[in-house]
Amino acid sequence: MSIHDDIQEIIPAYVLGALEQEEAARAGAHLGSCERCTCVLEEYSPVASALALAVPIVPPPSGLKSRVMQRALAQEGAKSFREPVARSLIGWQRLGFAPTFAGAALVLALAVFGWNIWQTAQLSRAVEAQRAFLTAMAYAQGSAQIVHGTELAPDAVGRFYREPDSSVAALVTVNMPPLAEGRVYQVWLTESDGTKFSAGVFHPDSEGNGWLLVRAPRHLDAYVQVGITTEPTGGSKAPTTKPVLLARFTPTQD
Amino acid sequence: VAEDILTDEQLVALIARNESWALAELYDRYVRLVFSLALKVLNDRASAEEIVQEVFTKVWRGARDFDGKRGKFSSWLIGIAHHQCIDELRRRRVRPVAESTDDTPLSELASDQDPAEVAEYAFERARVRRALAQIPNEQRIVIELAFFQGLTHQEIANRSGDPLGTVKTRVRLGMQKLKELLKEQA
Repeated sequence: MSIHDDIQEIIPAYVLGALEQEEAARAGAHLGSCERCTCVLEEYSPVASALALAVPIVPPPSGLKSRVMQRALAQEGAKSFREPVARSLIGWQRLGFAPTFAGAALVLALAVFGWNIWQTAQLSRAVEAQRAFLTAMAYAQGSAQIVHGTELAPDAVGRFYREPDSSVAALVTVNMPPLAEGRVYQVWLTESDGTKFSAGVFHPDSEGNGWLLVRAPRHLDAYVQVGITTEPTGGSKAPTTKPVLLARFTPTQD
Repeated sequence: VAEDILTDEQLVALIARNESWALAELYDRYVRLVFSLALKVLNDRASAEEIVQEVFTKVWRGARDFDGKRGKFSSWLIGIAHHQCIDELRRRRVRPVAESTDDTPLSELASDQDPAEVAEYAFERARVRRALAQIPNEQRIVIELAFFQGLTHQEIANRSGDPLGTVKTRVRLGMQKLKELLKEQA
């Protein structure tokens, strides 16, 4: 019996977790480097997964989603890299640098965040997002759309920087009202038939400044409106509150 | 809404780009399954909630490790959840007390669940249960002892008094049969 036959024979037990620790480690080591046996593993993994479907469904407690999202977002990633960027960008906007912002922003990106790119692998995703955000702003070439606060947040204002002919945009907001515990701001793009698409969630910093890199599933010309609502942590499938910021899109000027 | 038409795999790709709303969407799709599996294995709601948090944190952190060419997201997710449950079970040396044998009426499912989703769950569950019912009883028992109670070949043999080789054969043949039946019914 070859090593492959030997391993393939125990794969059904491996996916069930029925092997002794040493045997499972041996199988795992082999599967990590053997394409042939991995194919057999891929046949049996769904069989083990299907067993989970036989379990009676029990609804989870309602507060669990909020805890899950908070724990996940407390890891490296989403929130930790957003706030410093928001402060930097919005500070520039307040000083009236908007017309030359795009080019300057790229310089800022290279100067301030360039070191991050090489620092550690753990930060790479954050840096990638920052660069994408700044690139979206740079390529907006002055076609920023002003997003006004509604009666719920009259002092809030945002700028929506759209890359021409793309599905990417950068949203920057200032003077956002503080959020209650367990709430986030969620951005919605509306299609001409009224269908709303969640473009992501963000949490503003202590000064009310926030930003979000928007990656829409379709070209941004497909949307007629952008709005921001407050939603439970993790976001909602559809808006559940009235918008705090809202704007109808005007055609981009290339 | 647009999230509904995104596939699981597209959502995982968005998670890999730090889009937290995509994680929220996948949570909505799979939390009932993960929570129910954890509750079945650990027989303890607090532990099941802890498992849910660990599983979705792993999805958030490990989205880039998911390879859609290697299988479906749901298999990957359940694999993570099952490993977490068994690790916890073995660490605490706790064994579930309750055995679930009856079908849960649809009315017991979460009230906020999409009716189409409820129907799909019910359909999938019926399909798996039908397949399990068609394999020999002694094979089904060893499979369930391994998957839901985290018992190894040796532990099953010790508990049942059957020779170790017999237990191994039952696990292998039972899984082979189950694989064929699920394929036929797909």
